[in-house]
Amino acid sequence: MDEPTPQFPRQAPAAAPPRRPRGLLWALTGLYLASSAAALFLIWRGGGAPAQAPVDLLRSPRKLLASGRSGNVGWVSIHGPIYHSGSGKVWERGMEQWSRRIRSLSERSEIKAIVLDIDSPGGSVGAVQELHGVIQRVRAEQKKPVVALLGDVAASGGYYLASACDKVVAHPGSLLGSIGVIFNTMNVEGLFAKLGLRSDPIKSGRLKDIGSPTRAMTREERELLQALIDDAYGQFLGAVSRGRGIPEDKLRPLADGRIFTGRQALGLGLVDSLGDSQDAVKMAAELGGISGKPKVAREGDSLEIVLEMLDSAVGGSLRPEAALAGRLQGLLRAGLEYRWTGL
Amino acid sequence: MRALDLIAGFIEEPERAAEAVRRERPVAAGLLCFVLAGTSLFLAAQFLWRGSFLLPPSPLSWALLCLWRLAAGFLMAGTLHLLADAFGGEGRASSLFVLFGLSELPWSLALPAALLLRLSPWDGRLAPWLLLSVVGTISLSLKARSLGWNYGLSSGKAWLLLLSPYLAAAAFFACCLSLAAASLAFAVLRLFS
Repeated sequence: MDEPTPQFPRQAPAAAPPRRPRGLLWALTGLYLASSAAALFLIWRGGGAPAQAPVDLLRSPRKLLASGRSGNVGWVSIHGPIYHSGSGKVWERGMEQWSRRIRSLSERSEIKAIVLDIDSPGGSVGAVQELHGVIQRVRAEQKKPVVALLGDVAASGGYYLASACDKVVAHPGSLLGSIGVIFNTMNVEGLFAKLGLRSDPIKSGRLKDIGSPTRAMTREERELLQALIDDAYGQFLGAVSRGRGIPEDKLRPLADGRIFTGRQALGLGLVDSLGDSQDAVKMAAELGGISGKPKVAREGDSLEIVLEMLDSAVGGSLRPEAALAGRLQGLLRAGLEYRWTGL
Repeated sequence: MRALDLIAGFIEEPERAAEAVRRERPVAAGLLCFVLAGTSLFLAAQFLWRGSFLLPPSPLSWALLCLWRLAAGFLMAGTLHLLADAFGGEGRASSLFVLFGLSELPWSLALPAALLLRLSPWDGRLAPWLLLSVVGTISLSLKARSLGWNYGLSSGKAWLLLLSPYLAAAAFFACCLSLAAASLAFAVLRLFS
């Protein structure tokens, strides 16, 4: 008889090793996540204002819970003569670049107001009027206030732009005004004669070479150009009169091309207040309804700024003759200009 | 090896975790630890220094800080691996890098500590530096222990190894300073002679 097969008890499967409690790990993870979330929230509520803002918010629950995030004040610097840039490169200085910067700042929702930092003797009529139009559009369509801050000089075209703004802040010693138009022309007939040169144009009409530097201007040509100047002057006067709310007949005696200091201009109603950049930012913030300390957002991408630096550092040193030619070209530029030639 | 398991192991039983790191070399976990620590330091800096112009609150400066810490960790791991090798230690640079990443984890405490510091009455000019010194010392001691675990070195050797690049830099700087002082003294003497 077969012996029964011994039945060995089945071995229970080996128990999984017990998971050790990870209380410490979870506590530390929770602490890390909670503090990161709190920090990010405080930095966000600080609205990108100076880094002390998150610290202030930490200590002031009332400020922390206050509704409304601080807005920003955009800042665009218009320095130098105002002309078309010529190349359209994003890092160059010119009307196109300034227009783009004003528009792009005004389209950002966090920008509640814009400060235009103007330090310019003016420029070509077309470029100045283009920028003037951009400022008016920002005010009318984007409903954002624009404050002009006048620097060393805001003459002629520079003041034309300032007059389009909601408010004008000038330093007491700023030079401004020079409301008027100029048509630069030169007569090099004598020089040509010395060099044995003579200009001999073939024209379709007798006035085709009006303003030619190779000969003296005729009386008829002078009267024609004077009419152009007067018309452009009328446009300038009208723009400043509408912008500053000064009737044209009261403005005309001041608009004979003379310049004023900021302090003189205040008494004449050409500026709204005397102050500095902080005052301009504060005024812009008030007009824009920004509570608390606003952050100033300067125009330009980081990349644009880097390219501008590279271009001015490298391009200028590699092409000194190009820089010189640019300067000479500025002096010989044809066309109507809202420009103070004192500079 | 899951990163969380590794971090938990490093907190609870660091020697066993170091052994596991030597075997498996989870570089991704090490990278993660560097980034976590860098993030914590970045956020803490916003509260420790008013007007922190060095670290403005932008994604770019956060990224640059994390990158800098990663690069520093990488460089340190490489340099100390060479020195440890010269000292007769046996280990891998990649596992040292991971252990250094885990040693950076104490910096995660810098952020809650900074927030508490700003709320406390002990908030002063020296307080941030004190906080960073304490956290930095903890991190440094973990790094020294990591060196010891990774290369089988004694505690003293590990510390010497860890501090040697800094000591070398300090010695070089002291040399330069001495030379400058000596030449200044010599120039002054010549004036009066």
